Amino acid sequence: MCFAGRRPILVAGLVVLGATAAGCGGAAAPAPAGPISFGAEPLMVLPSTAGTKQITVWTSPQPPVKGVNAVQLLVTDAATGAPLPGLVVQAVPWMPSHAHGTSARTQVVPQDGGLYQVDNVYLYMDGTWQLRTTLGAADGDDTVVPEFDVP
Amino acid sequence: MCRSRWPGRAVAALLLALGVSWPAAAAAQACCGASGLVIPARLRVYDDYGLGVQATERQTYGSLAADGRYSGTSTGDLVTEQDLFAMARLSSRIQLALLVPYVETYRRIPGQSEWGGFFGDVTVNGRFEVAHSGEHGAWPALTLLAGLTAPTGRAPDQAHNPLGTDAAGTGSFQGNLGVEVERLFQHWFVMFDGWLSQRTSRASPGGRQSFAPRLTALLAGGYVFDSRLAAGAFATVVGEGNGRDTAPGAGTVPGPRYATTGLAGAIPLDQSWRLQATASADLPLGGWGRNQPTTFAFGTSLVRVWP
Repeated sequence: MCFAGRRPILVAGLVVLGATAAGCGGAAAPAPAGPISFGAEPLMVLPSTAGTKQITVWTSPQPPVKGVNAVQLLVTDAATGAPLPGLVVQAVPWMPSHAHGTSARTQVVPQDGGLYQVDNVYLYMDGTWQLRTTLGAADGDDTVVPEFDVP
Repeated sequence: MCRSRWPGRAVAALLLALGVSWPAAAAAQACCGASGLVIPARLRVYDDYGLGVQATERQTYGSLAADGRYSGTSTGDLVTEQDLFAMARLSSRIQLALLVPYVETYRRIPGQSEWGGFFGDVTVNGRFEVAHSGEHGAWPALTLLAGLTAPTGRAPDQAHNPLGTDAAGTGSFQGNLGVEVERLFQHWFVMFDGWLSQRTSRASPGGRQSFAPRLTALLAGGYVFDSRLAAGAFATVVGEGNGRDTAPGAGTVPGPRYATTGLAGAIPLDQSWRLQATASADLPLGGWGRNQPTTFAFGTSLVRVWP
């Protein structure tokens, strides 16, 4: 049970760890690679979880890519087709197969005519991502979960 | 169900195949060189303590989608991991190992790249050596395995760096139970490890995500030269069933499934020090694997033991 010779390994390990830790952080927030623009054709149309709303989804770029994307949601009444402005929308990217989200927080910008733009949707690895979206209203919250395959 | 079939029948079949059909051998060579060829944090029968460092470089070259479709990538993450590990033998049949990883990631997205790193999830592994090689005639060595991983690393959604490169953890505990069967044939050795793992649930946006058990099978074999230099190959298969998420609209969550194959070598520097290396690749098995990046990996380890 002699411990002679242990110190060089520990010192070398700490030097490596210290050097790499010092190099972390300090980068600017992730930004989209190009200007945000949404095409005429939506990527998908989904019912809300409660079934009372219809959500039309566009992405920029479309389809979404690895990196920073933007998503536009048009929320309408499922029965009448009337746009639903004034909702409190929150959206969180989530990778279900690995059970994690991302480091960046999304920003939701309400627009006219029941449109909501979700910026800073950071999908950093290949695979299936969900955008878990809460549609807050005075008469109760609803949700919708658009799913994206990032190649 | 796979869960009830795997450990029992597979282990029994291996015991029979490895143990009964071969004559007893002194195995004087393999006994001293094979241990830990694929799993460095492992003491030989006569070692009391050990300390090591393992450095692994892992480059993502593609991914397996949820439907099993494989696609390549030229912008995959480059991950460098340094693991410090310590081992101690508590008795002639029980040993413990502590593994502390430090994970650094280089990530690039269009227009931006970033290096970052942080400590990962700490693991404690225990080995109960039911039977050593040669102890019961022709029967192979049998070891029961147990482990616990604690979420000491940052999960990706808790990362501080803009591109999340300081994330190095899973965000939940994981328990592992397994069995190892090893048979020595003079200079040759064959080893099978089977693990059943279970992660604890973790909060997800709007709900809580739970995981199905994960099965891992590792088959390794190799040759130990007179100089105690060892070389071998290994293959690992990992499969996890469908998990659940209570968030509205989330539904079932298919877990990852993938296979890895590789080569390993160990060079004893003297009685106390050994240098090891592995090179491996996750197989782009489209149609079988799913929900997993595919990587090339190269790892080296320096291990010091105190007999």
